[in-house]
Amino acid sequence: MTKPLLDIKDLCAAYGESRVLNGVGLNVAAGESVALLGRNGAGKTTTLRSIVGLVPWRQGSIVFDGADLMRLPPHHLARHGIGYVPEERGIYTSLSVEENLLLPRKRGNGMSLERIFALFPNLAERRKSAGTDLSGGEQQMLAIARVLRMGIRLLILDEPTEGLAPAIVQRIGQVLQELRHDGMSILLVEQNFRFACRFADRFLLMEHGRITASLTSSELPGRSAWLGERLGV
Amino acid sequence: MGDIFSMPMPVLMGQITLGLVTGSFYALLGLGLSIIFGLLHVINFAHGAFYMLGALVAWHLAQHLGLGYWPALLLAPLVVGLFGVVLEKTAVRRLYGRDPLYSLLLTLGIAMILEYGLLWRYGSAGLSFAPPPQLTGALNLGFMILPIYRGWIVLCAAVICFAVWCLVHRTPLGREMRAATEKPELTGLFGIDVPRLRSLTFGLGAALAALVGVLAAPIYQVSPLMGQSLLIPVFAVIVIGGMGSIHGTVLAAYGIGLAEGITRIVFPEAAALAVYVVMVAVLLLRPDHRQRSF
Repeated sequence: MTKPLLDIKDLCAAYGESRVLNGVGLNVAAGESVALLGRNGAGKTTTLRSIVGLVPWRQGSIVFDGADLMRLPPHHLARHGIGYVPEERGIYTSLSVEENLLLPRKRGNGMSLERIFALFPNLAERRKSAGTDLSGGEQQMLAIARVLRMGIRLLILDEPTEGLAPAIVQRIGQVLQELRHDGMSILLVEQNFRFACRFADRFLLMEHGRITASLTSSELPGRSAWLGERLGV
Repeated sequence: MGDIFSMPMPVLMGQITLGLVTGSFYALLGLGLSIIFGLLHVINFAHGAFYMLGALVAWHLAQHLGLGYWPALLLAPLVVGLFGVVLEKTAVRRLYGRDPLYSLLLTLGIAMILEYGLLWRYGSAGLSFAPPPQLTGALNLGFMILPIYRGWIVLCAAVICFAVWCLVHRTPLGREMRAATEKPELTGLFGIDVPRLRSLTFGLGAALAALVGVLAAPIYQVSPLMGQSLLIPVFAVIVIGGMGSIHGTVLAAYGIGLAEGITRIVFPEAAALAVYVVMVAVLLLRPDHRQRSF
């Protein structure tokens, strides 16, 4: 078996006295798309935030392409090729659309502004607008486009379709498909199960701060009723 | 020539020039404080001490190395800026994330140690620092006599304010500073070394204060306590301008400087109160008047 790109073992995390993760273990191979599923409060977002070092306390092992992420300061993650799009999108109010895009320096095979504008024409039209003047869908496109400047190998997305119109969801899905075909690994938290099914190779079920099941996309049809029950959908 | 407020025009213009000079010092010191507060959320009470150190370093450069005003304008901010970086790395950063009161007390303590430590060495009698020969004398503009050095300060301050605005709003470094001010944790994930950016910002603020110290040295006597009298009005200015706002700080600084100058004509006894009256009014009428972004 080839070495996974991202390998997490026995990850625990807490906010103050409140322990959220209780020994998460997961991995993502190069070029693989993995969807993290679970009910609200299962620990999905905390798992993503723990990977990028945004939780106050974490323990365990997170290795990305041989590098121990537990020891790296946050600004080294971009250099290693990890891009994170938070649930709240993280658009800067004091920066224009173009400035938001230019914030990360272009690294390696990261996308040029021209390529990003070709991928997201809406952003090209509004490049001088304040980031927060964009619609929710445009903000999500901006948040995704911004990390693509960094030449990343793993894209971590937290609820990218939440609250978006179907046409925007479809466009974001198309972009993620393109990235996947280009060989990018994706780790995704998504409540929209149908959206996740479109391009995930593997589905991880998270309950009470642990991964309790792992299904490949080929196993999914036979287990969809069971999974639906676990997810409460 | 006509009189205004029963005062001859040259005298009135003289007071307005003084107001602009005071406003220039307020603006430049306020800018440093504002940038530091915006990014670090530190209420830097050591800013007056950095201003004093700038003047003192300039004095030393002149006394012991024979370097005059022009090299001092460059070297003193560099020395004090580096000192600021060291101070941030060794002391100030330990208190990030805590109530700003902690860093206020820390920087106040540092200011006291520097000011009273140096007072022991230099005494309270001021040390004189001469302006360069090119900037001495006065120009007769017809409606007023303009001391060249004061005109230079106003011009210099306008150029520096514009340069700082350009740095913050037109350069990649400024973009990173604005981003880190808003969302420091997320900004780090874009490959930006936020702790280093904070050190740099603190150093930049200290260097700016030192530059003002060099500019002020030929007007005021160089003394270890020279920063104390200026610091409190500057804090009032950044409160009025909206803490963390560059535009607001500069506008408030010149507004207050001019208000002081004009009050000195109509009611001289109240001139020093003008800044505090406006500050109290702003706090009472617009208590939420605060901006964190540049």
